[in-house]
Amino acid sequence: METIAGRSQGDDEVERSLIDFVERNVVVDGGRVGREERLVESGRVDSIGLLQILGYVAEKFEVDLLVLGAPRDLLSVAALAAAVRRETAARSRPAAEGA
Amino acid sequence: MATTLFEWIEEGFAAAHPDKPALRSERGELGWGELLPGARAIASFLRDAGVGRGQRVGLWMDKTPRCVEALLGVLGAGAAYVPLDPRAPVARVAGIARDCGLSAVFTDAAHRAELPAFLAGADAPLLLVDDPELDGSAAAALAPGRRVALLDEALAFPPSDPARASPDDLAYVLYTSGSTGRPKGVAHTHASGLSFARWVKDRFQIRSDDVFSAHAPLHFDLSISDLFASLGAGASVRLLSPTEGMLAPYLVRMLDVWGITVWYSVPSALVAMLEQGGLEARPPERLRLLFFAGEVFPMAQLRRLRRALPHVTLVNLFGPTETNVCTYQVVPQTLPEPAAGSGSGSGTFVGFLPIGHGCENLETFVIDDAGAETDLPGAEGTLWARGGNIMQGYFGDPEKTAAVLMPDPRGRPGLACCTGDRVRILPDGAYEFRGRRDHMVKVKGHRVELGEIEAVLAEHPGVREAVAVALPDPAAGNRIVAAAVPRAGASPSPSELRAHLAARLPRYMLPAGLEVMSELPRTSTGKADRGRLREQWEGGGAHGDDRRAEPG
Repeated sequence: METIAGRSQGDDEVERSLIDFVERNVVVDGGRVGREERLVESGRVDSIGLLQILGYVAEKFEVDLLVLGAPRDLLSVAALAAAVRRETAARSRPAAEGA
Repeated sequence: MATTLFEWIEEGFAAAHPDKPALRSERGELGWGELLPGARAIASFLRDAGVGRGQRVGLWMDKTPRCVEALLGVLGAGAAYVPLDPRAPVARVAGIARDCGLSAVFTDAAHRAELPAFLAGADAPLLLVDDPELDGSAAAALAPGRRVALLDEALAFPPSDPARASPDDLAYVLYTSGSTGRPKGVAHTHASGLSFARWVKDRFQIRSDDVFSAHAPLHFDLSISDLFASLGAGASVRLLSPTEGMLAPYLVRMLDVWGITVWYSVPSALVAMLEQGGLEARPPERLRLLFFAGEVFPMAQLRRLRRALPHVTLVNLFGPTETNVCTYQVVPQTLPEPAAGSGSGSGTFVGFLPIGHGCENLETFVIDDAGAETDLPGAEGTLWARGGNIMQGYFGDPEKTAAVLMPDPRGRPGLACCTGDRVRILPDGAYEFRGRRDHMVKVKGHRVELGEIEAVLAEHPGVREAVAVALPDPAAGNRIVAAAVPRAGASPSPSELRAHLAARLPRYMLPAGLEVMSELPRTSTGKADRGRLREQWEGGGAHGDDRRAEPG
């Protein structure tokens, strides 16, 4: 179900899952992470943390953002969730078109 | 002929087409026709505000074209710029600002939330803010009691002739991590910065149609070549954000899209482009010159890079920030393969490229352990440099400066810089890096160079990168612990790596603990973060075991 912000209910779950993972496993200061907060650019996530996040996205959502992603997809949790949705939709499109 | 960095950029402007982009990033671009007038306007604004020769101005901004425009404006005012790591904790940034007594600070929207904490610890009386969401009164409210202006206001200031700085005036201060835990400010003059930029431009024939990448953050000394060797020739620069710099497959895809002809980074960024980015399958066609510096390039990975980019001139630039760069080695087309079972305990590095000869614009020499100059092949000693690129000193720290800039040990008039790097002289007069004096540790009475262990470990076919650190040990003096990062698709076990080391190193050099990690922690400059590894291992207790660390 799309909302006026262009996000779906599923996206909120993606964001919640990502925030939970990043807060538990990635940020070293133990603080909360906002959905629009910059991850790498702010210094809260380093190169190891970024690989951890990309590994989690690949495992949980079956989307390989290391290969498919652009830097803007990795800026924040909100951007990551949008990229997951985009790549998931792109993957399902050929099947839907062929149906 | 230019004698200051600002005049150098003016020469570049004369060589460039005004409509051509000077600076590009994911956040926009600035043409040559905008960059220099903008920098002159900022310079006039700063001078009008009382900022000039000898004063320091902080840049606490993301690495964008506007940031570089501000940097040039600082130089145009005759002042010195101090890049403040935009990813560092605010307490560290404020500490640096305090240490060098900033007259002004440029900042941006990304740091708005941290500004109160920064200002509480720093005494900058003038704040220039690049923030499209703010108007003048909202900007003024950011720092009550201080003068605050929007960057747009400075850009609209009537330009006047730039202040004529002297070549010996301070031009920039780069803060590096100090061994005591307190950052030290390496202070360079216009003369030393310009000497290096001019050497890069002349030695490697930088042209106005070149396009540089700028992978390094501005507080890292690689940025001096990225900005000044390029812009001084009228070339263009593609500024990379930290996220872009970490996304190796994206970088490989974009090199030709951006038209990059000159690349400069730490080796680990290039190794990631080989391992994760598919560089071998997609070699950039326009790239002609590739510099690397900052850490040792594992020979096995360098061989891969050499084979992947046969059309590119690969150059190892070497030298501490105190010298900008003092030696260089052009990588030959063919690199020697390691002999089966070759050992390193005999004192021969099997895994390192030589650091080459001294740069032509300065003098390098070797002082042996007896204190005498030597140029004999096979002799080993400490590398010294003088002239050209050498720093003015550590900002505000004459004691530390005197420990590095010393009377020439050969008895000649003037000062020379002791790099602290141990080298051996090769038959052709080139230098082979033997490690930092401070990476030399004693284990059970034996002198051990940690870099040698790293090099042998990195020669294992399943290893991409390796690091060794020494932990204090009451019994042995030091205990060595090493980490290895596997190559893509490889999964060497600690015991397999231990067998590899044992076949090549004497027993006293074998690490007490060996960990296989999916990735190494990095400093903000992209180097392996040895300090953090040491903390992790120390924090984990006395671990002399081998282990495999899984991600996440």
